[in-house]
Amino acid sequence: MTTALIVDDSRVSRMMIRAIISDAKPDWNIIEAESGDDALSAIDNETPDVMILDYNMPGMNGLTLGEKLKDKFPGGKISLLTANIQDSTQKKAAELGIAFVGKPITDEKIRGIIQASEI
Amino acid sequence: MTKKNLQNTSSVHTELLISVMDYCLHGTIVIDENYRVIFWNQWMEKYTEIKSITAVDEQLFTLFPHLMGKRIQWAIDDALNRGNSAALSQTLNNAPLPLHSGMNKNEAVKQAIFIKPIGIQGENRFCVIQVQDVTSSLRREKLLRDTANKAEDAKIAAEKLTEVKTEFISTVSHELRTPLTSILGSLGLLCGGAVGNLSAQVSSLINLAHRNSQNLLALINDLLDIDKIESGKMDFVFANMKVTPFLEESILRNSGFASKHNIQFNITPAQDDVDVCADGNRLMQVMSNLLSNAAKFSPKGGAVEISTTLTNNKVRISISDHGLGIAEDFQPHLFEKFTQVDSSNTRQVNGSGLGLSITKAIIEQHDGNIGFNTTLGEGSTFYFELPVITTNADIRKACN
Amino acid sequence: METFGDLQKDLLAEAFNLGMGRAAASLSEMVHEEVLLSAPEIVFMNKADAAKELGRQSSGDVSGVSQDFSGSFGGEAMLLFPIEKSLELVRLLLQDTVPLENLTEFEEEALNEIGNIILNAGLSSLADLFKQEIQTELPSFRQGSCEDLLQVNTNTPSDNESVLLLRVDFKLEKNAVDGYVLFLLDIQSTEALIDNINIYLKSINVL
Repeated sequence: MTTALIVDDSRVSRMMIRAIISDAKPDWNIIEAESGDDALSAIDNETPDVMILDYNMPGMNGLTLGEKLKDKFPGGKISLLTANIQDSTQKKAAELGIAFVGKPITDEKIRGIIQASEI
Repeated sequence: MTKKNLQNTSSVHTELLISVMDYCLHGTIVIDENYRVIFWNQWMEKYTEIKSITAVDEQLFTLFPHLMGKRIQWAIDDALNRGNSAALSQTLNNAPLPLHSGMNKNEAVKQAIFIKPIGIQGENRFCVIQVQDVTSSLRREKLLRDTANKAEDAKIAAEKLTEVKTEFISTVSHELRTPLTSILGSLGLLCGGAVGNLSAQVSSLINLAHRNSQNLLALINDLLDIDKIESGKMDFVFANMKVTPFLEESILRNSGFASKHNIQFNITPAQDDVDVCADGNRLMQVMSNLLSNAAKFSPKGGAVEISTTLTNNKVRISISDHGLGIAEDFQPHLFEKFTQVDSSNTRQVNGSGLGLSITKAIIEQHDGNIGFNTTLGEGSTFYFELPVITTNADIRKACN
Repeated sequence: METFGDLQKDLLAEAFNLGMGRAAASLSEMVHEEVLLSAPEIVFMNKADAAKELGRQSSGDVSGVSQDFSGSFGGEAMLLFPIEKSLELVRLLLQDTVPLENLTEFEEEALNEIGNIILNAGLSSLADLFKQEIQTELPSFRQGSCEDLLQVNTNTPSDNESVLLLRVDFKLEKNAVDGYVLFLLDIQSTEALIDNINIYLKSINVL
């Protein structure tokens, strides 16, 4: 079974992402977390295949979390979903091998992330 | 009104409005949602040298290709698509439109641009772009900034100069004092007959050298004091002390001046003696200065009166002479550095011209004040006032 | 205001942060430097309380940019800073070191533009979210006491107008400057905004 991890401090954003994933892949197991630390403890006994991370969060930011997750799950696909659309952030994400997706959250963007994970 | 009349009125109105916009003191461009120019006023014609007839129906980005993808395009898109207005400042955009005034063909006109969406009958979207020439206000502001910068530079330079000067005086004074002390010592020994009796001629020369060396040392000591006061490094050791014994002691110590100038110091003691909190050595310096001044400016055979009065928790110590008095134009400068009465009558009087300014600084460090009264031809009274200590709490407060 | 709960606040915060991200990207492109902008706090309060809150954060007068807006809900939007912070922000952005105590005419103009970009982006993010149109007017520079700028009438306190107050953080290189974005809304506009939020939340099956 495929496991998806959604990390975003906004509850509405997590709910939206979950709704889109559940609609496209009803059988996926979805884990939600509202911060980096929260995420790291939530995946203790899990192996997420698809990880969608917000950038701007209290505590650890999405890139720092992404780096840690990359080490833990080298096979997982990580996407940074963020309102910070500056070149410098995109560059940092690319250097870490993390996909960059600009907010707002839309059906197409989340479906795009799902499709990319299946290649 | 017939239908024909109505049309006429409306077309007259339109023509009038177009003329108003044409003669407007700002540049005005109206574009439609495909960036097509539909209005271009006279101001724009003048500043771009593009005629309205050429501009109208042309795309704005065909006229100014370099504006594509720039902030001005985002703002126009934002106005056309979302209905937002925008202000583009000269500072953040640096003359986006290639405008030139008649005055200087080579320099781009500095500009502030305002972009506003206008919708007619809901559907149609237009955007009005207004341009202001801010070159002259920018020049005015640059002048203001330059002046502020120059003032700041001048202030720094002046502070630096004062610092260097103070350091120079301090170094030179120290370097002079050491050899001078040994010169004075040697001359003192010679005067005292330590190497045997001297001929009258040699003795008078040695005495002259000794006196002048003493004056020089006093001047150097005054310079060092001023330096300490100005750099805030003069140390004070405050203690509780009685005024009358202190005054008596000061007269004793300065009796040399009295005999030298052939005058008398007469003290009128206060009925009740009071306590003050003071640095005894520094206050003695004040008395020496005031007494020696009074002696110097007194006529031979005269007297200097020292008296004490009490008012409002303060004790006032006055030193009065019967000299010439102080000329009015000189009075305001009395406590300034390097000032001395310089009239032919007093030319022979020695001094550094620093004594009174040092005295004033010392009294102020005691929370006191200093002043004088003078009448030409009758004499002068110099006085200083110090707070009186009445309780133990006062002593602790004042002396700590 | 029972209908404005955590979920509604969360949605607004997301929308504004989206706008702030866009504004930061624009500013960054203009000053050729990374600019970070976020709105970590959002509250609804009445005007008098908002003026008090701002007064508490800035010991003296405030300065900033005001812009009217209209559409399915309308009012006045403001970006405000304590005066010394607005000097700091403009001079950081312009890398200016001229030791003048007040904003000069051109610094005011620059602050106006910065405010314009931020307020337009914030309002556009709401308009986009609700798929509606909000028109904005030209910005104008403001300076004065919090009460004056918010037009608080101390004699007749009224709860008719509410303020949506957002704290915004600017980060440029190693420097951080805090300011406030305010939306002054009358009672109809407040209701219209909350209606729009709830309609949106229902549309994504969250309510």
